[in-house]
Amino acid sequence: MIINFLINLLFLLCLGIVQVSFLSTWPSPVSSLNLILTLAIFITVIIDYDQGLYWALGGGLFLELYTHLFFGITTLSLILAMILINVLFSNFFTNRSFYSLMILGLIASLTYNLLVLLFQFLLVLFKLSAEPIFFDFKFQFVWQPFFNLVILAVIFFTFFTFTGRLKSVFLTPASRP
Amino acid sequence: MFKFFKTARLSIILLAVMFLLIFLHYLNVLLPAENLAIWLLAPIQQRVYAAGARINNLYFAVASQSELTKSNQRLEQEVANLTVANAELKTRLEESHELLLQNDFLARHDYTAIAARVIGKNPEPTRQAIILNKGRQDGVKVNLPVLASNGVIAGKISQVKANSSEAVLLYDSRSRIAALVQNDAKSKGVVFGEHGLSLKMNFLPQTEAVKIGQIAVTSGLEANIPAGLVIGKVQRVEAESNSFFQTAWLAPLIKLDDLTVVSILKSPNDN
Repeated sequence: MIINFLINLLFLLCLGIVQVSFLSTWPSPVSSLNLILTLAIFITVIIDYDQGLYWALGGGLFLELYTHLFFGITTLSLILAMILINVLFSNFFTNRSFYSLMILGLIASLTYNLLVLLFQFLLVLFKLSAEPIFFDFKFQFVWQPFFNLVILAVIFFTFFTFTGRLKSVFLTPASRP
Repeated sequence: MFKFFKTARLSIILLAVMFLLIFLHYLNVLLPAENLAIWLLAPIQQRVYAAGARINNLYFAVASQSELTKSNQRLEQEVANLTVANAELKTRLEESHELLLQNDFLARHDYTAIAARVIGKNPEPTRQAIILNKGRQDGVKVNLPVLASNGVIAGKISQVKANSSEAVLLYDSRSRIAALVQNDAKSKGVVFGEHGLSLKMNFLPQTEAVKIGQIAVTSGLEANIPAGLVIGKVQRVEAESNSFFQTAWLAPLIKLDDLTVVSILKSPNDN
């Protein structure tokens, strides 16, 4: 339990550092990729919802250290995006397939950015923040979801190649009724 | 009933934890932990950032070579290998050279400054801002100018934590800086960042001649920002006959994307 927690924490810190200090040096629009969000989506949909929520909380808190946004916006948006895709996954999707992951990944990426904007708007509305809201449609709603989906696809196929879960299973004559 | 409610317990607990953390954050209870985390991670981030910048530079170097013929490919590979092998040494040399230039400039103008390393960039895609490894404990304050090179201004401090700070770069859309063009009339205006891509100087009087190639510098009208810090060179001028003002587009004299060391100019009142 503790070892599992420490491994997850270490992995999360590495990913966070890559996100803030490595990816950010890359040219636009590649730098718009959100690794923390991508991993949280993958874990929520493919591995375990509870673990995905912990990832959203941990990853969000890490990003809060470096973002200028009002404290909590990033983490709340991440957690709410994970809750939404879990609701959709539980009620409208039949299995943990590649297509489910892609659709839910797209929904989560768009929801996350929408929630960040919404929280910023609400803070301005209730005069809790005077920071002007900057909105870049192409960056937040086109490029970031696109790169998130590319990385999700890479993680999906890497994960299933290494865990062997993607192997085709055929009915053998012996197994037929 | 939605299956969601079966798994809602943990979601509600985590949201409650998050609201508690927000509450504690604004009571400054979490501040020591946040500062400790930044302090612990800064050395790792510094190395990761330098590696990222090097790979980025290498990528552009390799991409630009794609037009060369096959006969040059072997040589290019050797150059790339040598670039990688010498990258760390080069980075250190460049940093030292940069620091020497900055120190020389500061000494000549009798300014005092805080040397800082860039440890990351703001993760938000719409914000062009760098994260520095010096903060409140080192004397950094909001709105202090950040110098990139020999008297060239890179941006302004926008946020300060105990041992780190954030500087908004000149071409960020939120950046505003009082400036003047070095022409006969010393035309004054305000330099705005444009979508993280370019610099635009507004409010230049129509009656004053602004020409391509003239240099724009800080006007000294802003508190904490001395006059004469170089912003950029006039690249294009647009003057409409029905307007009081003309607009100039500036080209920065240095590349702001791959800064590794900067100087934060202290306010004269702090000396």
